Amino acid sequence: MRVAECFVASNTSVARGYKHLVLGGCSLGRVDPGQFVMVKVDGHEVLLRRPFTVYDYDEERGVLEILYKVTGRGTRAMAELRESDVVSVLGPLGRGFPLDCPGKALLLARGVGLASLTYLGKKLREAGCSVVTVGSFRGRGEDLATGNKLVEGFSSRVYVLYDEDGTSSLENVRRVLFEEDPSAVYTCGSKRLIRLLKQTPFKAYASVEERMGCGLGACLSCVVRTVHGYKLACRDGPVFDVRELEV
Amino acid sequence: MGVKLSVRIAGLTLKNPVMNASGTYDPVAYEPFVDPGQLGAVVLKSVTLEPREGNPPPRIHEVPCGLLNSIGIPSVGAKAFVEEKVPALKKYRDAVFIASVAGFTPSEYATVIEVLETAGDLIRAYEVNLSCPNLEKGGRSCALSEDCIREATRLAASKTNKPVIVKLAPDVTDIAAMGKAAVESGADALTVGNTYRAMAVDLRTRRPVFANVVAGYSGPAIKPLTLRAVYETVRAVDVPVIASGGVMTAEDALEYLLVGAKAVQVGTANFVDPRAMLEVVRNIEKFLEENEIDDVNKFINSLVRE
Repeated sequence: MRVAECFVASNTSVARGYKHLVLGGCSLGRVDPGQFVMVKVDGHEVLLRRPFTVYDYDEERGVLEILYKVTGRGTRAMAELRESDVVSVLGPLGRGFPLDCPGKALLLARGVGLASLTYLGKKLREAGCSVVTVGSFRGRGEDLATGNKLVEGFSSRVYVLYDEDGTSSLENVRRVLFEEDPSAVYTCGSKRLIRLLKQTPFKAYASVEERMGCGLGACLSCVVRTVHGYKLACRDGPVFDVRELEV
Repeated sequence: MGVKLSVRIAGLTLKNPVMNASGTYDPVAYEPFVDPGQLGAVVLKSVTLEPREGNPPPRIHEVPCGLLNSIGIPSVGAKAFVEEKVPALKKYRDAVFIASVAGFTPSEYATVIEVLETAGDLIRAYEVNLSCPNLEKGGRSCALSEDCIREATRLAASKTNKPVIVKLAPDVTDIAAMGKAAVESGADALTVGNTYRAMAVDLRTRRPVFANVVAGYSGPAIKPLTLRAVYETVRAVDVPVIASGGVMTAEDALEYLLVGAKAVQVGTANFVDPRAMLEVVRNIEKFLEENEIDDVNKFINSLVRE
């Protein structure tokens, strides 16, 4: 865990409302899949750091990639970052995904939740897992999976489901899950999908999102309701066994 | 390195005038970034008598130049605090720990102190967090009532020989009167102030952002407001005043020292940069060196008015 001053190598639009930030000079040591970073954008009227999961990371080259959706003041400021701008990155933080390999892993993402699972997919593939990726999106304009080099690189199969044609329905997702019969499911981006997974026999882990203050466990802002009471997304998570979550 | 940074507050010697605001720093969680022994003091998270879960999320909401929080004082309770939390702090031998005491009636502050007294010497002083709802008065914050300040302070001070620092709310009609009430009732020092009562609404859902509706506003926005409150309190009481409100940099801290605060608390800045307090200490020292002031105590309360 450290604070690194990183420079912006690129910050490009990838789909409707989504951007891809590549940071250089970003040596954070070892980063486990599912861990997150807190990013401080300087020179804007944004006070707190914002939490982001790692889209991709190359420890040797010190390159950190973040895929984000532009939603509020923090991400709007981030969207304006230009090449060679400097941002402060605190991380890696939190507890990541357990890697259940060998076996078949299924990544189940809703929207930008896919960004939290790509680095995991890469590491699962490296560890000898076969990886199936299921991406659920509102429409084709928000599709982050099709043509995604990372996803295509680690996935033996990719399902892309949309609301606009009904393929993202819970019944259809459930059908895909049982057809694939994975040894573990990893999910991010949707409480509905977490609830669905709790009703299946599959071992499943979810990365949750909560508003964060410090990212370190001091401010106690990012509480998540679990069967053991409130837990902190930043310190006890952001990855939880879905059966532990009350969503 | 010829600058003397240490200050004395109610019999405690602090190696510098910088500490955290309660609930914004955890020595264990921040260990990769901060050696608590390098701080003037460490104020621990407020302890309640019984265990509490705290408020439902969202608990935090950023606004221009600051943030609102409604955490709700989650606590393991006083007994578990002594048994589980205190032992984990013993390894920080050079740190000065101040326990923050919460209470939901005036007498509950005293009851919590009675339990904390069993923790022994690790706790060097108590900060009485009066900004808790007083359940005997419909949940109105104790810090808003002179009577409640007097009663809670008197009861708290009667239970310990350790210094009692009373933490006042800054958003009151007459902060000097509130400070005097606390000092007359036995406060050895004052912390001025705390977050400001504030509110946020969501235009889309037409609901308050927070379940509790009212939340506490902190951050750079409140510094000039609390600077005024500290200035007025220092001139009304004869005990040390610790300033707490919007310190982001050493300049902010120095402004508080200039108007008479003996020490400052850093809160929100700890969330932005975990190293913030050490930066503040370093840059206070640098400022004093550059201005050829060999002792911070010569700078404290040196405001020029003519």
